[in-house]
Amino acid sequence: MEIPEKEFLAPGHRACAGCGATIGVRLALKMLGENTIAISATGCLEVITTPYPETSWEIPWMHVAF
Amino acid sequence: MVLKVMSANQAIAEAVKLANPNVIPVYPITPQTTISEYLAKFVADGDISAEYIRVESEHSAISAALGASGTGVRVFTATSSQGLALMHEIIFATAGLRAPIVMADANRALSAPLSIWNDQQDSISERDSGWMQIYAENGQEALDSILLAYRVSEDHSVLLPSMVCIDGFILTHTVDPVDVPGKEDVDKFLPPYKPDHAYLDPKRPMSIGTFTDPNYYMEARHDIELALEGAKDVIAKANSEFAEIFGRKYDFIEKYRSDDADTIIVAMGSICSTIKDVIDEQRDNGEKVGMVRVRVFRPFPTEEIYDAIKGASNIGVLDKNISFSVGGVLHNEINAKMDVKANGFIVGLGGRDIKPTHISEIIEKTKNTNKTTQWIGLNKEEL
Repeated sequence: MEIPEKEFLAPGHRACAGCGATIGVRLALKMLGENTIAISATGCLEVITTPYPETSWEIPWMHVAF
Repeated sequence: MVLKVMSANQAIAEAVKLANPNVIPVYPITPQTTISEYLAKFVADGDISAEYIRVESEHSAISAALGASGTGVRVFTATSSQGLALMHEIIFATAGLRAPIVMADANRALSAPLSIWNDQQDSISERDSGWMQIYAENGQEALDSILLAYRVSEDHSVLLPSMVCIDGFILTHTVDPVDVPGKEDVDKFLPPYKPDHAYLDPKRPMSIGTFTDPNYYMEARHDIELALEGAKDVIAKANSEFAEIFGRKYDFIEKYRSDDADTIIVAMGSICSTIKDVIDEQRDNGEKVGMVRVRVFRPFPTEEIYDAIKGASNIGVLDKNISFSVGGVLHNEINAKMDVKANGFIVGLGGRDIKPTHISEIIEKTKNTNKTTQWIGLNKEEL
């Protein structure tokens, strides 16, 4: 299986080195592609990827609550 | 104009049909249920093309509404009492994310003890959320307020959700003659929603609802305060345009025989119809009494209320809610924001009847101005 080079989760986020969540999201987004909207619950993934005014998400992303 | 006889719940469903939302996530609860039933029928019959989402709870209803609104479309939902309480977490998030959702709340008491009957504790308890709140007096006003609410909520300078509150059973399940406006007129007043701000679009990716540290959170909350205060101008303009098109003029408050009154009663919702009758009787007997009905509760129309009541020697405020150990919320807000010494009266909790004799009792007790709170209509053996 070919893994696309295009990234949708930008580096520079606040995850710990080797964080499984960001590796999972990064690979999932490569397969889902740009026509994707991500919905995130409150938690580590939200906190490390969207410290306002920055975001790692290069697709539309929304967080509402837990 | 053809008047149709219908309940306020049906009037609200008719308004929603005219507003033509794209998504309706809703969960039934007494006494709101018939709103969700009418809307389900409209969708099933093809009268409106909205996506009707049967959710598993009110928390899911408002969450789905917020997610749908995040895609930049018009959304409607409705609830009551425990349902609104279950929504509480997302109610604040909806205002915080500036989603212009319109919701109807069939005002019902909160548990415990369990009651399905009317008071306004449910919506009053959400007063700090950043939502706009309108309290309707009858079915016609319920219908019109839905259209006004969309118009104001979706204004790009406002972008805050609106709650249209109707008294459970008193309005939701009794019928009134209602003028259902024509679609052409409604389209003139309320064009399709076109967001120019944050929404989920893969062609223009953005993150909505990000994590803020103490350097940013306070500004976001301050923006809500500015938007809610700024909404007053938008509401005034919408009211004028509404009157031009539909011939019915609404304001933040309704003044009833209050201009020269020595004694003024302030209240919200359907009870105001009873108060008007009592005032007419007392006026016939030469008593200088009047009423001020607060229609828009958030944003709070401090200036309009104060202008209307400041000339009276005696002011009594009715609340169908209780902030325990403080008193009624409207009463306390009026005394806090204005240079008046209004008396407060807790009435009608859990559907307790408010009879004309109670209103007369309140008017009598208002003639001794002392800022106290009194409970009216309690069973005598409990006193």
